[in-house]
Amino acid sequence: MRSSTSDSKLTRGTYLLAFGCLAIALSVEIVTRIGFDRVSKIQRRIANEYRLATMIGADGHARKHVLVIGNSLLAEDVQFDRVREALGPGCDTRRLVIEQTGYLDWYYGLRRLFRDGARPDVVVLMLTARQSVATSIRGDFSAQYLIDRTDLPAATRELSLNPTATTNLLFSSVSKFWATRAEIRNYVLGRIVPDLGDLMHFSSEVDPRQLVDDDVAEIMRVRLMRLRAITDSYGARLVVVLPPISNVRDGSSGFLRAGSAVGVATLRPVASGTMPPRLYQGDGFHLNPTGAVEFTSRLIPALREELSRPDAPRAAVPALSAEQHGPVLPVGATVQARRN
Amino acid sequence: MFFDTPVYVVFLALVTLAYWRLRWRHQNILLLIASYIFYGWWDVRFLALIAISTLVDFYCARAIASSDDTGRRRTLLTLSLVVNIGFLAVFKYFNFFMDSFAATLQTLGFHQTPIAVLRILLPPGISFYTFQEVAYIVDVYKKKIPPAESLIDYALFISLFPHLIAGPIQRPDHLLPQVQRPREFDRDRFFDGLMLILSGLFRKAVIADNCALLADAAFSGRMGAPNLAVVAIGTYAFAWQIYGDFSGYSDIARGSAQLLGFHFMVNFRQPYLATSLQDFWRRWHISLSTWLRDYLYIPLGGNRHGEARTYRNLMLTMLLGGLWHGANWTFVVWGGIHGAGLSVERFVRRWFARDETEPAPATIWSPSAWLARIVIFHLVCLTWIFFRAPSIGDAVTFLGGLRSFVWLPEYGIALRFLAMFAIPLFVVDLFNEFRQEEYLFEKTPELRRVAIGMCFMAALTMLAANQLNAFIYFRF
Repeated sequence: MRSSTSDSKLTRGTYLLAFGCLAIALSVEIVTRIGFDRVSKIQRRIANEYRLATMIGADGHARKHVLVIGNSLLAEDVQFDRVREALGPGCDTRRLVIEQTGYLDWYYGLRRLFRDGARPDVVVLMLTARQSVATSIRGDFSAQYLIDRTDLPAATRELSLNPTATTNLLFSSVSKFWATRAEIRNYVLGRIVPDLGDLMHFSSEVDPRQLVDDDVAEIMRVRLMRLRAITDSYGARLVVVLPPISNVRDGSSGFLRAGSAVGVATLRPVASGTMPPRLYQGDGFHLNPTGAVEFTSRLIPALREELSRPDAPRAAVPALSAEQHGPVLPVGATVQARRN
Repeated sequence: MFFDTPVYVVFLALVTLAYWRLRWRHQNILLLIASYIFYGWWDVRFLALIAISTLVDFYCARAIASSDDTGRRRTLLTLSLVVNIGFLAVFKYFNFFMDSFAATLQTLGFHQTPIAVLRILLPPGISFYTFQEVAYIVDVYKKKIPPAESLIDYALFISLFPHLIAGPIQRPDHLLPQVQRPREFDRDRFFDGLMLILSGLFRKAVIADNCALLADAAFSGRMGAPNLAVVAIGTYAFAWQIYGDFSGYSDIARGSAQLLGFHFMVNFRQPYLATSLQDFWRRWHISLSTWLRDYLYIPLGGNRHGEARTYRNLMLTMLLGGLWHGANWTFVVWGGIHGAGLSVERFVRRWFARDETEPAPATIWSPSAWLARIVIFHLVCLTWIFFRAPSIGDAVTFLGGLRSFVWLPEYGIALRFLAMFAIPLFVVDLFNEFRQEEYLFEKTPELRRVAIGMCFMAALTMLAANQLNAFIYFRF
């Protein structure tokens, strides 16, 4: 028996429902593409900063072009206007903050930024050691905003994603709505429950586990080399800034060792655990405005000194493919708990 | 492949489109291939497991049916059960029992005992398809159903993708005949299938995944040390999360099946409106509770051998039902509390009523019924703490929070957030209960249902939590 169906067998409601759902999905995609970057303050800021970042170095001026990238720690801990002012007119300093990002987001993000036209002389990356050793990305958002579509296969392999997560990421790289649906939801919920942000801040996750410096050094040697290979290939210099967090054993000493071993300037203006708790926000992770003043005051001279250094010839970096893995943290430590 | 991902939507659409253009035999082949692709999407290695158990059961069932020798029949039944339960024991419970054994030895003073630990992944849905296979082989053994003639039909009965990972557990006498005969296209049921899928996605992605944010925060200590407020937020949030999650999954599974012309049994009927624990188990995970009744409680003797045996059977059934959920003592305790509760309920009912007659069903607006609903809901919530906590120690610590009370403004926000998602589901349940419908406004004109479906879709685009949250029951 042939049990095929002709179109006439479907009810009018089925057509209406199917086309209605399709119309909603398409409308949301179109509205997201056209309007979300304008409506949401955060999205507007990211879109604007990304646009400016891709244009850095294109002015042809003899100034030093400095691109500072990072996550919410960069946004909260650093008074960027002061940094820009302190570096003076001799530096064209621009910032790109994308929240909840880590090493892999920026590894692929840098590749895409350069491909999109960014030509900075110096890239300053601000991440904690934990965010740098984690093998994770922000997720769908990164697939749309940071990872180039041609890098997606390599990224999914590096993240050891299953086919479900892989196809999801692929879909996110195509659909802006799918990639930003978390942000859309937060935006809508923020309108309905205005103080929801306080709850999310209050209940956000801090990973209390201590990092072992030797493990961090081992992982970061490879990861910094990979980052340096990108910046070197575009004639840029890589500088890493380690922000101060409240956890003393944050692996930053291991990070410094790795930086020194592979010739990447690694700045630690303030050691973790040395700033008083009153300088942190309620989450105990980000600095409050007073803490940001303090940290920025220490960061500026360190950054100025590093930028004033002539571009000494650096040791050759072995060529590393995007797929090459660094060593993996001991079991348990690879679980990422980023809250920034 | 998760039901709430774009890849599943594309997969289901392609399969459905191709399916209704094929003849019945070819439909079954297509569905079998699609089901194996669906399952292999997690890890192709798992396919070997389901294929082996399918082959063993198929041939054992045929051999059982063709034999009149009781001993041979029993041997074949045992072989099949050993293979099925053996896979389950190795892949799901081996490490649990070894760990428990090691802990017991340590308690007895034997330290540093070498204990084997298998580094194995739990194949998704193994508990569900194993129960389905057990039901099939037992039913064939008891001559309730004839064995499947075609391997493709039987393999499809076991692996049909809408129910493969987390049920509803399908009875052989319900699903197998549907596989074995041509399905008729029913345009109204097709429309209902779409509505069920949208309703299920709404329950999962909007209700459950948002409640999960609070439940995870409360149970992991991110809302501060457990106190009355944290326990309340965490427990209520988890109660609505697991209900939205699993009933949502069941709706999507049933809806997907309906698009293909199959009928799956209802798995949830407004469980939080139950007026007794017995009533709860007639409304919650119905396919499991009836399976446990028919293949465990009744074979154990049910209520046919006196009161003491009945209570023992109730406890055993619920303890094993608890253990079925996961390899952790927390699930055993969860089952144990339900078993004890059911026993107490039975005892009280018999003590006061002095007869076995069922109490008349409570009317929806009766005050006493509402009092009972509130009590039962909170009792169920109490058991969810053991279900959700990673260990018994964690559950006890969490429950210990009930002795203290701290109030922070953030708790107020959390409760408002929870209410925003739990109340709509509760209201939907009230409507469904009152109107005896399977989904909201099922019995209203089609155009009104289209509007409801579009509202679900709009809510999905705006409010769905974005994590790739596996359905809770996928891990069972």
